[in-house]
Amino acid sequence: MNTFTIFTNFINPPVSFFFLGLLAAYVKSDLEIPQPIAKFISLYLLMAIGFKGGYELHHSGFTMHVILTMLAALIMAIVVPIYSFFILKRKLDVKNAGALAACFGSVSVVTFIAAGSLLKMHMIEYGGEMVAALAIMESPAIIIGVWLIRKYDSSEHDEHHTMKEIFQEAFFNGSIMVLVGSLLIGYFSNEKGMTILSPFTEDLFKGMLSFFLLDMGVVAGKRMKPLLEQGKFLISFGILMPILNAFVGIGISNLLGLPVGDSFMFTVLCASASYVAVPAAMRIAVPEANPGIYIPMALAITFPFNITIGMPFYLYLIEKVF
Amino acid sequence: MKKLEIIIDYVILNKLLQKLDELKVEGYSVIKDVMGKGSQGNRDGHGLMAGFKNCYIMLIVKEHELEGIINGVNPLIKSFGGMCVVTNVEKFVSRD
Repeated sequence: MNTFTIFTNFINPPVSFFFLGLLAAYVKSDLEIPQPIAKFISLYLLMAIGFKGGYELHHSGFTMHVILTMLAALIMAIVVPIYSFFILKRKLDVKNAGALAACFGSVSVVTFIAAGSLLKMHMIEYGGEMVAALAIMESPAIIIGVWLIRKYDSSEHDEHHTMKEIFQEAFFNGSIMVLVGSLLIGYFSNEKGMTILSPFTEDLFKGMLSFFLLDMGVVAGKRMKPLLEQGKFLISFGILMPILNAFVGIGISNLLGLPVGDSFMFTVLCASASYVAVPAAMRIAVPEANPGIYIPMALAITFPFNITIGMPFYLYLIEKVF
Repeated sequence: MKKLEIIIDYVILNKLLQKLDELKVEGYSVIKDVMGKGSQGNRDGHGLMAGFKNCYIMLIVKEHELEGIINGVNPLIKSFGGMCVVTNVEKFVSRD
């Protein structure tokens, strides 16, 4: 990997807009994207990648390679929060360790989309099954995180939400509904559906992503400062854990013989951490855990690391290995 | 009559409203997206996850209903943060 590879990633417009947002937060600009607009764009992005993924999955079909990829995604979604929990438990209390482990065991949809955008710059394709893998990896970590906390936490606490309610939040939250629903619509509507929706889901996509990352930059910038006061362990974890998970992801991709594009997307899924769906569920399930730790860790440390240095580094490694 | 003003984490709003329904509360008003600062730190409302914003619920109840509602709301406030303020209502106009 040379500095040119990293530089080309930095000048990728969505990534540049993320840095503009960070800069705006740093200089205390009044730049602010109204939350209903950011929410709309996030739903748009989910719908667009879900639809496109379903369309591509229709063409590739459910081959053994597709099924193995999905199985690997499910295994990683279960295993990553478990080993993350035991690493975190050495320095944090059980509740914060469990909440943070769940975030790192789940995935970031925006990192996935930014990874797709980087692949497009390098003219590398990835399969629609990776969108299905994204949907599969979103929820299991929530259940694992709550299970680990309830197993290892000896302190008495009020459980306001039953496991049924936590399952409901994990598997039927708005993001999962839009992503899985769009995937199915894309799968069944095929060519005709793609012709109708492509001006919306294809042509507008990069602009919407850039605008969304501008907002992410502002929010990440605002969350970064209080997190830096939490100490070196959390910051190191936020950077080293994605690298470790990426290595595991590259190893599994190699074992499964995935093509470069799919390997990269799978690796990015393993290396990313959730800062929307999982924190929302953990806030409900474990109110005693501090959202001031687990949201900024994924949003202000891991996400910027992945989209700037992490992704070009993973792509470089994959191209060397395969 | 008493006026209750509750400020609580947005993520727990549905649970609180469910509790109020169980307590047979006839009506309430809700303002979403409330910012502020308190025991849970700075609730600036930024970000897609609702973990950094509050909501405001206002309801008018009869005096004998007050204790049951406070007993229902109290555990949520103890776990998630927030507050509940009770004041006397001098005059109340409604359709009923």
